[in-house]
Amino acid sequence: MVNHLTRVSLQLLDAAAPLAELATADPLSAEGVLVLGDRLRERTIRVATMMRELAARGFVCRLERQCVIAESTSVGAREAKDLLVALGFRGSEFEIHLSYERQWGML
Amino acid sequence: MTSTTQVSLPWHRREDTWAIFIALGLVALVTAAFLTGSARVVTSTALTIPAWSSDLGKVRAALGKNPLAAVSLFGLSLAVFTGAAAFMRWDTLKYAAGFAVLFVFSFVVTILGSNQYLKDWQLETPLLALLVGMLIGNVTPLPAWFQSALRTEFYVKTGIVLMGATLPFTIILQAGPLAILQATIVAVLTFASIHLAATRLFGLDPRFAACLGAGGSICGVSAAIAIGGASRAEKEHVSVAISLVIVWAVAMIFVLPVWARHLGMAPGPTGAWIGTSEFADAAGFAAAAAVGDERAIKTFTLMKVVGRDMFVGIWALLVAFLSVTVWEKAGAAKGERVGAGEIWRRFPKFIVGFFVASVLVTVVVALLGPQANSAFTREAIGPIKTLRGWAFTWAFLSIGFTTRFRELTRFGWKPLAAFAIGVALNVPLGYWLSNHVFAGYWLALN
Repeated sequence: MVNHLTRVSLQLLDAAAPLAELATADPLSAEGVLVLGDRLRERTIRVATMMRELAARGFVCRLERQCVIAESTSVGAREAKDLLVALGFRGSEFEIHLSYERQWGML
Repeated sequence: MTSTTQVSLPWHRREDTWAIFIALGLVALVTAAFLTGSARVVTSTALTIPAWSSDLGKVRAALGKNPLAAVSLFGLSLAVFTGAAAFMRWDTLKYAAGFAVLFVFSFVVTILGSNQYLKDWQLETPLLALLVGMLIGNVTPLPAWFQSALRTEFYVKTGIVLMGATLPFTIILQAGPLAILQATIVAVLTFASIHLAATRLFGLDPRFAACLGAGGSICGVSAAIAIGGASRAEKEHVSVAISLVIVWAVAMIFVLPVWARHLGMAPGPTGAWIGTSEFADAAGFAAAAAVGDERAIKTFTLMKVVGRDMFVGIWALLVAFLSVTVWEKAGAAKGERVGAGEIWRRFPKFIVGFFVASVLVTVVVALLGPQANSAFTREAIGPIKTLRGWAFTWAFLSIGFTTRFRELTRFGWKPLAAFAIGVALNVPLGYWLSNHVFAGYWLALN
């Protein structure tokens, strides 16, 4: 009666990236930029790990405004969440959005 | 991925977008034709069938007076809907063939629905279309090419945007807050009663209960789907909620207008009651149309579209928040976010078209003098109402053709009982608010 779409959003530049700190730093230090690089590297590794795990279960990934979007019409939202939590990811590292759509029926 | 859903599609391939484009395009066309003195071109497309009793002479005479009306209505609707289908990358050949057959059905049903005897039995065109579709759809397998044209939502959304053009924005501003107040009172109490009954009395999963509550209180199938997604309910939960909504909505199409007539209710409060207590937009429109008075359709629209449909996004946000913080054991994924973007994502976008159409026509009416105003109502609003009626007839036929009773009976007694408790509260409360507490407002609307 309904189709579903599970969408996992993975921000590439998450809140942990100290961009805001850099923006207010006066004077800006080279070390600060290197710390940003380390954080970004750490974040991209975690995002890539989540992408690989999701892709192995049929998710298809694309980029939308600095955010990786992984979508599946076969895996459920709770299943996706359980998987990521079991792999040690925190809830703040991803956002899951589930949409249902009627195959037929009235408004 | 095995299939695509509307949310994964870009804006120019979504039904909402094309329902808005088609309806606003028609409104702009009709208005431009009136302003340039060529209203006759449009009025000839807006085919109307006169009421008839025992012989079809009146109908034949009306069709003979304007023999091109049916052809031009068919040509126009086929062109715009198939054009939209091409943009949405549907199989246009199949769609066009299916739409042609759907149009023939709508033509026959509209002639039958104009019969005075059937009208006396309250079997107006919408109900008749629904019954004919259900009868044929449940006894005969329908070919896939025909099914490809049974796009209930597409036609309903187009009809609702067209309805915006027939409802002055000043009325929406005047009665909108009241509609929102009445709808909110009923929606909150109905949602709470269904949810409490489902979880406390029958021990159902809270997310399942949320789907049932939303279906019975906010806006029917759309709400069950939106809240099902927001609460991450199981697919089966959403399906059961949809089945229950459809079963009750179809029953209410017949029950509410008859009941209102039995109670001697005026059209305005009747429309408001239907808008409060009917579960689905299309079903509600059918029930309001069965009253046989435009005022019932107006108050129904205010209550359902302005009072209830608009707020599905806010409900979805609240339920999504509850789901990740309470129902899904917060510890499982600490810090999981629910963005306010949920409100816009779940917002039924065609409502934007409804408001734009209303504002557009209101501005035109305000710019015209009082004399031109009545001509505009007759020559422009009249055809828009007729086109709206055809869009809804295609929707009702589609609902009928696609409703499978066998599939609708797959629910247990617990969700049925929880939903019925909500109905038992919703219907009398809606009646009391519409016909007593706020009756003055609904009676004053013309």
